[in-house]
Amino acid sequence: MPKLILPAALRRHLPETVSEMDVEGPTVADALDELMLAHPQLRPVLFEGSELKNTVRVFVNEEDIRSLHGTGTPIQGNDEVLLLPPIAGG
Amino acid sequence: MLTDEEKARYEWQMWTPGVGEAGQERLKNARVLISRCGGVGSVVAYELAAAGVGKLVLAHAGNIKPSDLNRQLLMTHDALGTPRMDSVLRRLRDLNPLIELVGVKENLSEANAADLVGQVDLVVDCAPLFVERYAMNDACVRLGKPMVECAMFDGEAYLTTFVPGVTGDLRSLFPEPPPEWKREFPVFGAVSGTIACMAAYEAIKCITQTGELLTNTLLHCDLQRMRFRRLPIQ
Repeated sequence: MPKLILPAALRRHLPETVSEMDVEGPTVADALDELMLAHPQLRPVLFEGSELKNTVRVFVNEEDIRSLHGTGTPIQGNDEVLLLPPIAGG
Repeated sequence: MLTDEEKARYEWQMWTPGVGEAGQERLKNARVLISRCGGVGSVVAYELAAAGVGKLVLAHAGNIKPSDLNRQLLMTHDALGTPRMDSVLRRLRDLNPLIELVGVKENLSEANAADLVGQVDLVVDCAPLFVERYAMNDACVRLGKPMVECAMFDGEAYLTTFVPGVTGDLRSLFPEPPPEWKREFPVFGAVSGTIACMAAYEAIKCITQTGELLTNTLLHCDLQRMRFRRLPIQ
């Protein structure tokens, strides 16, 4: 089953430590919908209206979805979807 | 030319393949801006001073607070309440009196970025606020200077190197700052120090023209799980 990886900068918005989440897919968009259902408090962090914010980078198996099929990128099996928001700790 | 004192001091690192005296001379002739000198920047500055980078321009405002001391390794307990930059300069001079240090008791802003970036060959971005990071980034793009971009949060860190004309820049990686970002963030000094050492070595490789830079690649370091991902970026 594919899984979403939630980095620390997203986990801080959640009441409990959830570092990854199994998802059904079959696309990145579907996986993000599953994430919003499970953790709706992430919606304002990740979405502008119905669109994924352009500040959030998404990688499937370490490939940028911008070079694949965007949020329509299909996922399956042991695929790993990594969400990376900007951070600036220095 | 390196002096005998410098050859003795840097002998072990000059043994690194591809460095030698020529690489050490590049370090001696190099000028690097580091802003700020907090948990990441302190360690970047310490490592680059140790390596013999000829001129360090260091920017950091304010006075030392107790909460600085878990990670800002150039600040000392006995200097609490005094200007951070005084402590930074004192610690770096203690380590290496052979290099030139320029201390600026300000943080980076649109007002001073062009001047400070214009004084150096390379920038290491260690600022805790996006407005400072974008100011440095924009000045680097305008002036054609490479910028090592390092940032951390909790047990994770990002590292990449922007080279104008070769890579994108901070605005192409993250076009806008996240509105929820706060200057205070969870951090152990071991995490900020780890990414700082990696950023310092990235700067050293850039200056000595050795190794492979993290160009067009974002390194995502998850130190809580000791997982490192190399992610292509454009």
